[in-house]
Amino acid sequence: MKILIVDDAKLIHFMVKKILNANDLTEIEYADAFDGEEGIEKAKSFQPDLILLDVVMPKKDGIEALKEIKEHNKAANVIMVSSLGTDEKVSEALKLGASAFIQKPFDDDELCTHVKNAK
Amino acid sequence: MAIKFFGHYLLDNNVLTAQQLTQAVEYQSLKNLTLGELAVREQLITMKDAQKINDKQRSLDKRFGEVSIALELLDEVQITMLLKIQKEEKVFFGEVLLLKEFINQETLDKELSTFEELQKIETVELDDTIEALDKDNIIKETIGVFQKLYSRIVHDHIKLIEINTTSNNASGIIALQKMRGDIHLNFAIQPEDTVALAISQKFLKTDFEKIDEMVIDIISEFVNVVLGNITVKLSKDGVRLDLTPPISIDSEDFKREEYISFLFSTTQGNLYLYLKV
Repeated sequence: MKILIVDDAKLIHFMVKKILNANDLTEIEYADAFDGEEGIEKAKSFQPDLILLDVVMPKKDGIEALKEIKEHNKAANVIMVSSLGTDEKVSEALKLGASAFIQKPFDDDELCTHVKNAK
Repeated sequence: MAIKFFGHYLLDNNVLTAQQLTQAVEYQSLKNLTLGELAVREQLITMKDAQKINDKQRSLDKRFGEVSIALELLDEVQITMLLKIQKEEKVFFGEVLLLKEFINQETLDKELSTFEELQKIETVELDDTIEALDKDNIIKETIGVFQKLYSRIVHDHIKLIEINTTSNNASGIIALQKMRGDIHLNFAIQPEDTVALAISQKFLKTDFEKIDEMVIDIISEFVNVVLGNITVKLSKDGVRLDLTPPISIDSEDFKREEYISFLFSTTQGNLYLYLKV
């Protein structure tokens, strides 16, 4: 399975990998992006099975990035992972085709369940 | 558990579908207009004027009312009238769900009561000076969510011990993030090194011995998580809010005098919270 993590906080990349690894989700190839623009580029080049996408990011935010990722590949499986789960952001993300919205701080189980569902 | 928007909670508990949530939010945002949209509808300004105010607002980091008065496009009386209309026309999320028949009154009452219990925050006691400044309870809600999330993430008690201390010459990392939109709030924290390490250890379940780049990154992300959850709490009922990415700044470059400071004690040490509303 290939997962692209798009988040400006390095620790989220580290944390996601650590949690998934500790929960026997080990056969995963990762790619990292640290802003929305890089996320869009890596979504094209890496062709991930799942994209974990933050909302508040420099250069291009997660909602704009989601829109462009979906324009390029309608079937892209994107889960938003953000602390900014306001009514507008959650519904906008779902409307644009995100499959779920995980709000930070998240539980290990919550993340693993979503990743297992995406496999 | 995070502070969730009621619709997100209903979605996660399969009470609403994603499509229903989207429809309800869209309906609500069509009804709950911004001051600019209202001013255009009431023919007080043109669309072009509204755009000009919005552009200026972004560059000056000021509220719509302040900018429109400064540009002499609206006056104080008109702003007061628009605020009154905005309040009167406001549609609450629960009302939309009933109107669209996505949920019945009994389910709404039941879910709302469970949701409110889950999201409950402790009441914060502030002194009279701050209380007078805090008309919309923004400071109280912010401190309540901050304390709740600190306890949940760090598994430690946190207690407010002093407000606007004069002896604050704390050094150490400052992580700052800004909330913009209908509410302007600058939120910054400055933990003592021992507290910064404790936050990092709990956040990443890894031991840290010194303040390094990763710890600084964690404190910024901690601020992002806390302020994101505060934003969710304050954004109920159609209030529109957004966040800038968090930044870490040197203590010397931080304009402490512009902020209200709150000193908290934890078992690991002290932490300053700075707010500018």
